[in-house]
Amino acid sequence: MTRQEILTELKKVLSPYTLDKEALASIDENTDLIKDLKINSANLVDIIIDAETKYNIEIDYDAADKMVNVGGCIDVIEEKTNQQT
Amino acid sequence: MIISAGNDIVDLQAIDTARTNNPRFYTKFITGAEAALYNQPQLAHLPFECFVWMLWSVKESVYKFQQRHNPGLVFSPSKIVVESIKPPLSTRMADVANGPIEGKGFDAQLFYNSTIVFDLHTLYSQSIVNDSFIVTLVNNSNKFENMYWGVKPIDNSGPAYQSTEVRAFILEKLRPVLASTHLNIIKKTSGCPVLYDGTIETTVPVSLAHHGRYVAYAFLFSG
Repeated sequence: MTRQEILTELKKVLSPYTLDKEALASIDENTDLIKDLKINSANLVDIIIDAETKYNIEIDYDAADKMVNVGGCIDVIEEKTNQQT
Repeated sequence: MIISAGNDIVDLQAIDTARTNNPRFYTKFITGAEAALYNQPQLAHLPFECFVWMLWSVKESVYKFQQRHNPGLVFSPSKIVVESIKPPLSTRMADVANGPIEGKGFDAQLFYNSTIVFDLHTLYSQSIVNDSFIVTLVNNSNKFENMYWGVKPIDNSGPAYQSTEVRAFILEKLRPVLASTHLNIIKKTSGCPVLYDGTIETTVPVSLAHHGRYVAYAFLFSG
């Protein structure tokens, strides 16, 4: 999967947790999940669990700490899916 | 010793209870040693999902407290370690009003008192847990007598509405306390809220929180 492909799929993971669909449609790697998408921090773990399920990966403490912006999410998903291949 | 404020609110109607109780969820931010704190007999009355979200709110509050003086700080809940939890003297959670409630300092009848270690700093928290919400305040001393706090239910869980309501709620309290009608809160690019009196940045640390249909504030003022 390319980073762009991951980003496209990531929008589906993030969608249940943001009301700002306009901001979600235009996310890039610098988009902050809390400040830009207005996602409540209480949902950050939900997003990690949903990403684990979607990509059949396991995200540990240290990796989860990086998932505060879109680029960080893509880094983690890319790294974990590559470990499987 | 730094002067700051940190708080958090969890709307218990907005959480997924089944997911919260799944180890796959809570082990993302609660260590084995922290999970073992739940086994103390004094917490037997506390539903496990409330324990999990109380730890989350403590960690989030610590992050907000520390981030005021370290704007680049990244929220890493697993690195914020809750070392002890002392339950309130009263365990009758339903006795706590659903809000709005406001106070200064804390009442040992109502609050869970935790000790936390983060980056070699020891911090302390006070949490109210009832059937509707969990609210937490953090300080770097275990004295909260100058900490003002409030929790209020709101009608709409949209982020813009939450943001407007929490500002109105804290400013309504701050105006008489600071004897000023020109107060305003502006968030820095780091996300940290700052209290202004007119165009002057005050030294009063404020913290805002919202989740679901609740908003909460905390500020420290000793004048």
